[in-house]
Formats: sequence, C-alpha cells, structure tokens
Amino acid sequence: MRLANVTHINRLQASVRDLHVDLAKTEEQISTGKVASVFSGLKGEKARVSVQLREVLSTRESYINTINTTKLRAEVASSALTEIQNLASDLRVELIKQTQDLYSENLPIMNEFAKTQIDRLANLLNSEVAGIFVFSGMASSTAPIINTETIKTNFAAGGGVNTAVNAASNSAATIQNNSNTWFNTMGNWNALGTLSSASENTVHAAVGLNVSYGEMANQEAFSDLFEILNIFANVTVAGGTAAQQQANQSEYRTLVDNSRGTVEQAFDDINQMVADLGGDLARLNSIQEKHKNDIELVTSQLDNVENVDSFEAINRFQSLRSQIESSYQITAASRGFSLLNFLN
Amino acid sequence: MTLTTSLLHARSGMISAQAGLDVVSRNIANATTEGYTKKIHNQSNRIIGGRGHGVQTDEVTRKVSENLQREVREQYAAIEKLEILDEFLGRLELEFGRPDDQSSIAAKLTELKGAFQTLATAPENSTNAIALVATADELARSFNSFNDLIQELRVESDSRISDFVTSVNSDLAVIKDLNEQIGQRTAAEKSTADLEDKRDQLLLNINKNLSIGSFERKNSRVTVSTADGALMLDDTLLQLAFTPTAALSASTNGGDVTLAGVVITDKIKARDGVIAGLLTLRDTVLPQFQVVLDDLALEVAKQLDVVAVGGSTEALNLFTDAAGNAPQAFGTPNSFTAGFSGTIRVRAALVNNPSLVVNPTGGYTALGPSDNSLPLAILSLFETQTALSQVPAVSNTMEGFAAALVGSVANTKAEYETQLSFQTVFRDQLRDRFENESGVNTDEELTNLITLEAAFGASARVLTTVQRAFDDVINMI
Repeated sequence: MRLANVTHINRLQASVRDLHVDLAKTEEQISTGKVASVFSGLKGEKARVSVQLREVLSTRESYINTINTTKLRAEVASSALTEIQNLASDLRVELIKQTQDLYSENLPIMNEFAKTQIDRLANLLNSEVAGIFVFSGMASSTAPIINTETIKTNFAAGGGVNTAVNAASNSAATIQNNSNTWFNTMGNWNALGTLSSASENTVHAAVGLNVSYGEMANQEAFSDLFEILNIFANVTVAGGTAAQQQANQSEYRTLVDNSRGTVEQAFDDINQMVADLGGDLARLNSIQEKHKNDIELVTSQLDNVENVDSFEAINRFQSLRSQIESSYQITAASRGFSLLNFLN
Repeated sequence: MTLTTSLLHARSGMISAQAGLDVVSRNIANATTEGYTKKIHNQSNRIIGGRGHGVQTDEVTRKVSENLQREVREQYAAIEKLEILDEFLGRLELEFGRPDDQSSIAAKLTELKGAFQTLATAPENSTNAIALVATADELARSFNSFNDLIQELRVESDSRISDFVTSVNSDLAVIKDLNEQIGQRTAAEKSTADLEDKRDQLLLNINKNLSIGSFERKNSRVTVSTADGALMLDDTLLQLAFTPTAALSASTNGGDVTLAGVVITDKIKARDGVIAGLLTLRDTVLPQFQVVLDDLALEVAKQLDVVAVGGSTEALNLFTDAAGNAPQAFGTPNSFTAGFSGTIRVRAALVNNPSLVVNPTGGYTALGPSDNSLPLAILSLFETQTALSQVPAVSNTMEGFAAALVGSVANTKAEYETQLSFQTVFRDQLRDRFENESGVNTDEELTNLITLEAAFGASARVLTTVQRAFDDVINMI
C-alpha cells in the first residue's frame, strides 16, 4: 500500500484513464488526419452534413464524367460537320466551274468528283465514337446513311431519276423535282427513317438541367447535298441539232445555277448546325467548369467537417503528454507520503 | 483494591488492544477491496458494582453515510443504462457506415443515382443497365441488412434482459439470507459490519441492473423495492419474471418484465440500470430507427415506382417487396408497411432483364438504343422533394432523408456518449466522497497501530510491575 487513501488512487486512476482516452483519440486524429473514424465522432449536425457533402461531391463527379463523354461525341460530330462544310464548299467551287462554258470537258470530272463526294459525305455522317453513330440521335447503334453503292445504283437505275438534261423533255426543274421526290423517300438513302429532331441526344448535365445536343443525319441540308451530288454524279447533256444542243446547254446551266443555290442553302444550314453544336459544347464546358468549382468548394467544406487541423492536434497531443508525465511525477512523489515509510 | 484487581485491569487492556490490532490489520489488508468500509474498534470502561473493572471491548462498527451511498448507487445505475445504450448504438452506427468508406445507406443511394446518370449518358451500353440493377440490388440488400441488424440487436437486448433479471433475483435471494444472519447477530449483539458490507455490495449490483429503493429497518434487515415503490424484498421475497422472445420483427414486441405477476416494464424503462437501458433499446430506440428505415425504403420504392416519361406513365417498379408487390399494391395510397426495409427487393423482371430500365415493355416505347428518356425522367425524381409517410411535415429528397437517418443514428450515439462522459465524472466524484468518508486511510490505521502498540505495551508493563510487587511481597515472608 503506497498511498494512504484508496480515494487518492481512484482519483489518479480516473485522471490517467481520461488522459489516455484523450491521448488515444488525438493519436488517431494525427495518424489518420480525420476528426473521427465514425460518424458519431463528428458530433452535432456534422454527421448529416458530411453525408450530404459527399453526396454532392459524388453527384458532381458523375456530372463531369457525363459531360466528358458527351463532349467527346459532340466534338467528333463538330469535326464531321466542319468537314461536311468543306465538302459543300468544294462542291460549290466545282459547280462554279461548270458555268464557265467548259462543261463538255468538265462534266466527266464533275461526275467523278460527285461520286467520290457521295462516299465522303456518307462516311462523315456515319462517324462513330466507341460504336455510337453520332448523327443517329437515339438510334445510335444504326449507321444513319445506307450503303452508298446502293444509293448510287438505285438513283441511276430505271426506277430512279433520269439525269440526262434535255430542254425539250427533261428540264432542270423536272430533274430536280424527281430527285427531290426520290430523296424524300428516306429509305432510299438513310436508315433513320422519319426520326424527328426530338430524337436528338439529351444529357443530364446538372441538377434540373437537361441539354440536347448533336444533329440528325436525316436533316434536309444533308438530303439536299446527297441530291445534288447524285444528280451531278450521273448528269449528262443530250445532243441533237446545234439549236437543241444550245437549248440543252442552257438548261444544264439552269440546273447548275439552281444546284448552287441549293448547296449554298445547305452550307448555311450546316454552318448553323456547327454554331449550335459549338454553343452546346461551350455550355457543357461552362457547366463542367461550374461543377469543378463546386467540387473544390465542397471538398474544402468537407475538409472542415471531417479533417482535423494537424497543427492543433499535435499541440493537443503535446499538451496531453505533458499532463500525463506530470500525473506520473505526482504519483511518484506521492509514494513517499505514506506514514509506513517513516515507521521502522 | 488489590494487586489481583490491577492484574485483571492490565489483562483486559491487553485483550482490548489485541482486538483493536485485529480490526486495524483487517482494515489495512482490505484497504483496496471494493465495497469494503472502514471498521471501527470500540471499547468502553467496564463497570461492575459501581466500580471500574478495566476495559470492555465492544462490537466492531462501521461508519457509512447512507444518503451518499444511495446517490453513488443511483449514479452507477445511470451510467450502466447509458453504457448499454452507447454500446448497442456503437454497433448500429458501424453498420450504418463510416465517413470515409462510402458504405452508408445514403452513399449507396447516391451510387444508385450515379448509376442512372451513367445509364442516361450511354443507355445503348447494356453493361450500364446491368450495373444499375446491381447497384439497386446492393441498395436493397443494405436496407435488408440494416433491418436484420436492428432486429438482431432487439433480440440480443431481449436475451440480455433475461440474464439480468435472473441476476437480480439471485442477488435478492442472497440479500434475504444476509438479512436473516444480520438479524440474528444483531439480536445476539454481535458485529454485523462485514455482513452489511456484503449486503451493500449486492444492493449496488442490483442497482446497476435495476433502479431500486432500500431502507434498513430497526431489526437491521433491509427492505428492497423498485424505484417506484413496488416491494421486492421484505420478510418475503418477490421475484422478477421475464420470458425472452426467440425472434422479433418490426411488427412484433418483446415480452414484459413482471414483479409478482404485475407488469412493470414501463416503470423500469423510465428509470436507470442495465435492464432499463435494454428495454429502452428494444422497445423505443431501435424501433424508432426501424420506422425511419422502413419509411425511407418505402419512399425510395415509391419514388422509383411509376414514372412519367414521353407523355406516358411507365410502371418501372424498380423495387418491390419479397412477394413481388410494387408499392401501389400496399394500400391507400402506398401506405406504410412495418418491416418493409427487410423485404425490399429489386423487381425480379428487372434482375432477369436489366434492359427494361431503358426500354420497358409497358407504356413507353424507346425510340432507339440511345433513348435515355426513362433514365432522365428517373434522375429528376432524385431531385424531387417529398414527405415521408411517418413525418408528413418535412419534405426532402431521398438522399436528404438518407443523410438525416445516418446523422440521426450518429447524433443519438454522440448524445449518449456525452451524457455518459458527464455522468462518469459525476459518479467518480461521488464515489471519492463516499470513500473518503467510509473507506480505509492507511495513515490513520498506522497511527491507530502505534496507539494500540503503546497501549498493549503499557498494559504489559502494569503486568510486570504487579508481578514485581507480588515478588516483593513473597520475599518479605
């Protein structure tokens, strides 16, 4: 029995026990960097706040992933549209050449040019990202443009369109009307049928915010380009007397002029599409930036709720260590206070 | 007065000093024994025929402050109740998740929302639909698991109540025997101090389990009653009775604690002690969490049940009960079902064919594999605030309610922890005061030892002196 009163021992034990509990907690905080490993250690409203901040964090990260995926698709679509703009521009240049009274020399070149551009346009509209056809809207697993050889063959076949310009029997207007009618039958050139623009892709980019993006391959601008390209892939000018030839050439000139107008309108429409898609991309970028800012803010708030201030924790640890050491010193000094030590 | 009388006085002094040494040695030996109170050696002047005849050794007594002792006991009972609540809620809290492991039910609900977001981004990817159904299944299993844990804890509480009731009955029976022995020794004017220590220790044990009241009658016997005054031990012993329930569910209650056939469950629950803590857990705290959990599960199932999409109403029925019933079938309208968190499942048809979450067979027909109309419509439901059926005044999102549930468990645990910490300090202070008054102080005992040693030596010296006087008388002959 080194101390005179059992109360004295109890008090020392309780004091050292409490100090050890605090010390263990502080050690854990320093080693983990966290205020507590369980929600109850956060105290008060902080447990609920912690859960909700993590929910916000997770949701924002999910939005960013979605926007990244969407941006990739939109960027591919945007590149394809820019190429289609170039194609329309090239086509316009070729049509202008046809107006320079050299059609007899230029026509075969025009035919070949148009045939290759049909393939080019189809390839661009059939652009895909990870198996997703970017101009198919919701029917993303379907290549929007059917086989171009089939288009070319059917357009030029008996049931197709007669593209031999003849002022007397097959005028420019007739060719264009027939061609327009042929392309109005969607199945002749695309696999999307009559899917409307409402079938465009939509992305949930933020709380309560859905953003529609992308373009459909069955839009009129593309149909017009296919129409003009198919006409000029097959177009011929009928012969005959000098007067008939002159009349036919004049009619061909009308066809070229009308086609230029159609191509220019398509160019403008595609330009609008590029602008719209650029606008969508800019909006998605802006939303993504906001999500990133939110994540920084929420991470900082979460840090305040869950993480411990290392400087403060280390100070507390040192203070507790001093207290325990003092407690041990007092215990050691108290050993000599027993009367037993003075009885010989 | 004769030399012989002096001899007898010295002898009585030596006997008294020996008795005193016996008490001091016992006090020192038991200085650290829990429940031991300091024993006091009493002696008085022996008077025969109006004249003093040495010293008389009286019965050993003890000095105990009964009021302080009662306060200490009550404090022990309060701590025992808080400790058991803290222990069970600690286990519940661990299952409800930790801040950094994303295992809370709120985190799983957020994961489900994330799965819908991923599906809405690429609905044509069949693995996204499969992952979504798997995430929904994980959420349903979490609900099942929490429900099972709550009921397991209730069963464990029930089982422990039975153990503690047996312990109380056993201690009461021993106190009854001690009452008999103390009564007999008191009648014989013998010391009862040690038996009283033992009885106090048993009363403390009972008090840890159950708040009781006790008082000592004139015959030194103790009468024990519940804190509300229902008699448990007087001349007769009345036993507590409790039958544990093998299995409990959200819609079933545990058995009652009775005293001589009278139900006292609610009276016990309102007081302190382990049994009160266990009854509170079984009947109040855990069922409260069960109701919130069931309500949350119902809310999630209701929200993800019927969805308006593309002008149609689609019966998604993401979650059903074990029998495959969607919430619409629960009654008017989607009425609360106790224990739903234990039976919630992902609809079997969705498990078999996850693509139905994109292209259902009901009211809405998807326009193509990338048609994300249904996932988008569901995502908007996660942002809709509604009220729980059991808390109609408060509106929140599904995730908001889940966060509140996790926070509620954590805060309840933290609250008990804080109370426990405060009560423990208070108990320690009371115990210190009690032990200061009634415990053994070895310095004091060693001082007594010196005094007794001197007294014994002095009496021995008287003996020696008387012996010399006798020798002188004999030598005179």
